[in-house]
Amino acid sequence: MRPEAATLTDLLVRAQRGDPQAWNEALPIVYDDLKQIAAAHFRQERSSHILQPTALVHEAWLKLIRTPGIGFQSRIHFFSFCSRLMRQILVDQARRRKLEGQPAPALSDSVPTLDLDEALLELEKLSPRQCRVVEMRYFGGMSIEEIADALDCSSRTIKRDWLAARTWLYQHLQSR
Amino acid sequence: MTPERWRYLTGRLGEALESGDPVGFAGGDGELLELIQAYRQSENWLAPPTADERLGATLLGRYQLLGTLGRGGAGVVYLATDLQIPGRRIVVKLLHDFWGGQDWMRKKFRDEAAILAKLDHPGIISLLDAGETEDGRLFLLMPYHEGRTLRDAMAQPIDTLLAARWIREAGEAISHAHQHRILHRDLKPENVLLVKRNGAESPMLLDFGIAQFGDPVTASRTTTHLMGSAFYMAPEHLLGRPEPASDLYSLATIAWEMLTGRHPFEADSPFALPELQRNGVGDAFFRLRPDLGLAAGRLLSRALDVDPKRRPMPAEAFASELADAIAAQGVDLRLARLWAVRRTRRGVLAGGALILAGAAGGGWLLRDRLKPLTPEERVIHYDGARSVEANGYRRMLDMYGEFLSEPGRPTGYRACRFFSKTQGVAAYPLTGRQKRSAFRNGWRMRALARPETGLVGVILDTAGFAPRFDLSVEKVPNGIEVMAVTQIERGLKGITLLLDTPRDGQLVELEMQYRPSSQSAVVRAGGQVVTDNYSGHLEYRQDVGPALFISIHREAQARGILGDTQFEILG
Repeated sequence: MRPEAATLTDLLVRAQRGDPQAWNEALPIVYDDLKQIAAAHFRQERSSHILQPTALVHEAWLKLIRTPGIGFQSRIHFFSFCSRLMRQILVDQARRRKLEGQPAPALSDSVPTLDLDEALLELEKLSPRQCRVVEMRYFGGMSIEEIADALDCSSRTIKRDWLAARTWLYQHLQSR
Repeated sequence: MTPERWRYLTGRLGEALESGDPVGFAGGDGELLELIQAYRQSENWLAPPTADERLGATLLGRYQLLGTLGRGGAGVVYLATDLQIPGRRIVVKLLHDFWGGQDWMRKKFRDEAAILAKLDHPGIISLLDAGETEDGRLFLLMPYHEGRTLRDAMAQPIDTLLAARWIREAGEAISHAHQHRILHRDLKPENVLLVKRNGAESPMLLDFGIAQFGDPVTASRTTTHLMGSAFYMAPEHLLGRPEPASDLYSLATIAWEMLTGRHPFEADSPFALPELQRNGVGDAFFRLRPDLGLAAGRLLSRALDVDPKRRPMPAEAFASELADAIAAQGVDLRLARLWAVRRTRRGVLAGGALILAGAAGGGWLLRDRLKPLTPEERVIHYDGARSVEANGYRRMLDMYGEFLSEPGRPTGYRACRFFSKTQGVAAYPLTGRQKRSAFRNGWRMRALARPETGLVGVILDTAGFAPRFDLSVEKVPNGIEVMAVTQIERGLKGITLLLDTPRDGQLVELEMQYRPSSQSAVVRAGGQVVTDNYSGHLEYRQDVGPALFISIHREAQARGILGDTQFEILG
């Protein structure tokens, strides 16, 4: 059952603010669509530059807004929600591929998905917000302003978070 | 690190970056300086796929932009769906505002688009439409093709015959464009899409001419690939004067990379490139792929000539000749090792390639390379009871010998005792044809040896053809040590096996047998296998063939016996 548009938006807003119940309720609504789209992209083994999560999220977004009965008042909430989901889907995919002995799909040449995921878990211990910022920016393709909006912070703070988080992740992955 | 500490550092890094002079701001704060340095290195890393307000929008009332396929200095490439033909996918390239800012540029864009639209070739992506959006941005429309790029394909060794076909087809496409007076201007593996046609992959060139509007050198800096376009550009092109022969040059660098797994000019930066280009490649290709014969290397060397007038135009003829030359060599080769070496020893080989590029091997330009070897060329026997010279060997370094003819000793062998106070070598010069044949078909080298003090052994060294294969025996306190040497610099290292000291009058049988399939040798000594995977070493190259040697290692004088030795080219 698809909830009413207002309800879904509300769920997404609450999920974004860290309400685990809202997250769990909203998840199945978006997850299947997103996973299908991601799986199709992986199956077709398009070249790596096409495997941009942003493109996937956009496809999911376009698909959802065309679904009758679903409407989003806020694209930002949808994207911030999806960014976290996207990370999860891609990591699941990469793990499965690894188990099957196939090369894990990478989103870009220089950033192996599983390594990045592990590093993000470490970063989350230092700063949960920075971890969210990376998810939204890298997996969700959101702008600094959009992230600031979603997290109720100033753009300056988010920008600092993003630069520091990227630097930290880079150092962390380089030193491995 | 604690969360509090990291929050503090986040703030400090932010302040430093916002100050405009981060290093000055940091002063003597080492931790902050380190962060700033890492920040700078990571600037283009984890590139945020920035949100684009155009996504979801509809262009010309017909093409809905679904997602971003890529972005470069010139513009952004979108995947779009054609609302009028459901299911049809389209690629939209939207150029940045500044390209459309000036009238002359808009005119140039329109002129070139008109010509490009006329190109009709399976190896060139077609231009469906070009024009201006409602808000004045220049755009190009192209069909969407499933496929991987040549860059993706090159992550693994490419079958040689397949590479030959791709080179031929790419050459045809380039010539087609040249006949219409269009240059590609940015040929590189990223711009070659491999599209399935009749069940097989064929190259399709992307980003022709204007699609690559503006200055490609600048454009390439914004892409994520470490090897930017510059490494595929001809010298005159780097100077801003591309001509048809520049596309040929790029094709030759791509062909080289497909066939060897390496770039012909491995420079640390684009600034180091011109010097390498000026020096040319010499016979480096032949040294990397001797199995492909001389013609392919010569063609590539001409195509990579610094002077565009000396390159073998047109592209189609060059590519077809190169493909023929490759295919003519009947190909049964495992490139895996070449690839492995490239990964692990990139630095070493880059240096090596520079040296090789300068030293042209005139002796290899043999016309009769296809004629089979005669038995005399195939088997080189060294009779231990005759002098070095009488066996056709040359005394290369300090080495003295005496024949072993003491009565009463078992003389199932004919041997000579050698002496040296440094190192002595006697070598048999091989022709290029013999060397090529040896590494194409395999070879075997057998000897009888007995160390007294120092090392004695046999070597096969072909300077540039292959690593040097070097097998020695040395007397140690509890027996004799056999060593297949893998490294000479900073101490002798190798794969070793300890054998019992042979009884008086006995010699140890040594054998190396090289298999082209694995590009390594099986090494045996005294009837035991020392290693079945000996791939030689790269140091101290000398242009000799099979050689006998004796050398001091820990002692002041070397003394050892070498008996009958045979070098045989198999096949």
